[in-house]
Amino acid sequence: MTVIAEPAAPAAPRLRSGLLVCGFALCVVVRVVLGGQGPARSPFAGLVFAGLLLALAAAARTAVPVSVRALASGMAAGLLLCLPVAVSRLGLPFHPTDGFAMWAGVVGIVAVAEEVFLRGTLYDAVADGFGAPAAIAVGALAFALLHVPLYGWHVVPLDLVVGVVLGELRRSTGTAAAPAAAHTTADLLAWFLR
Amino acid sequence: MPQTTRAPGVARWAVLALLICLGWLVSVQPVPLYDGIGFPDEPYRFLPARAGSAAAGPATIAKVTLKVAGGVNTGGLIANSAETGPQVSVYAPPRAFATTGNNPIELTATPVVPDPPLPKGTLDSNVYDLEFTSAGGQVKLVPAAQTPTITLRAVSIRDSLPVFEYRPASGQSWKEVRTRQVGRDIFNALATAPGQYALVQSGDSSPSGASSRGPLYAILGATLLLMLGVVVGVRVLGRRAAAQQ
Repeated sequence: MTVIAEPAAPAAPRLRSGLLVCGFALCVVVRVVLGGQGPARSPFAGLVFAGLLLALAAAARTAVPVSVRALASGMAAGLLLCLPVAVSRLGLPFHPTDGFAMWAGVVGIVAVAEEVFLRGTLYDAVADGFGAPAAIAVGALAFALLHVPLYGWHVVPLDLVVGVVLGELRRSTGTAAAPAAAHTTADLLAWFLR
Repeated sequence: MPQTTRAPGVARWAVLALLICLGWLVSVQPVPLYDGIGFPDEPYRFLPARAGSAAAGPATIAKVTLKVAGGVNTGGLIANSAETGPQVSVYAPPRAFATTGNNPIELTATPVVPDPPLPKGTLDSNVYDLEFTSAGGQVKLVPAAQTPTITLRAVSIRDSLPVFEYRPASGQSWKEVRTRQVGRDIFNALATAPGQYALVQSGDSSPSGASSRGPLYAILGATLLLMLGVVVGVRVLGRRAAAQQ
């Protein structure tokens, strides 16, 4: 019997993936340090974090093709992400919109930056070397771990699942625009569903 | 890199939807928490109100009415107080409360003025009086069901974490309850009985001052330098890949 070993991933994509994961971890460190005791509540830390992620994406020349289909798929997936909590809140009043506009602006920027990096830059690099399933898994893991310093370990199961959904959306639509739309939709709806 | 663009299968998306539901079920946080900037909290509403506080109004009650069938509540519900973010939340699991008949059960967490003896340390939340009532008579917890939980928002985020303290009724002594941190300033405990619950800072928990920020700035500087290295590395690798093509 002849066993043909599966070819190992080329060195360059592996190195690029590793560098990007390190870069992502550094971005999280910056956000946590700048945010102090409550990094999740610091718009400044969030915007710096988003800026650093976009800088990494720009350095990697990440392309994010935008299409109506991708945005529509993303928004539909965003609704899907919020469906369980929407059902559990049936009959309850929505949260008022006081303070929503500024919050939404910052949240939108952070969400899009995260998706451009995780489901764009990092996905491309990992998929180049290891394939799409690995790219989805690495993106989901990074997405879940990113939130640990912000909210605690209890968010890992949910964020891991959400990361897989966003990664699958990226794979099926071929662009990070779809998960960016899904992520932003879910985040913005979260304001009203709390 | 060319990507596949075939339509996602219905089965795959059904599995993902199921996974999301499972994720929600194992998540203790009652709101979507995928990312972004945390919802800005309004200033803490103290009871009794503190002079000079920027609070928008008096502290509010968390209240929920549970439907009963066969002597137990049928569905699980969360009661939140009206502040942004809620200062108190109570989770009532399904079939956790038993009463006589099918009269609904009311769960209320009411802020009350703390009376002596006060818990040792400093209060880090209002004192909340948790009650389970029903027109059908006494409400009992079902031992075999999931235990209800109470979640309180702390007044401030400090280096040392507060703990839950509980007493069955006003005037009695306080007892520490196992506390779980479920957010930066949100803490959760099992509500094993009606009574008063509060968060308490037990030790000297003054927040660290500017003198302790030096190492943080050093970490920040070093991290940004490393980031620069990563950006350069990514650019170099990208150019090499482009040259090879």
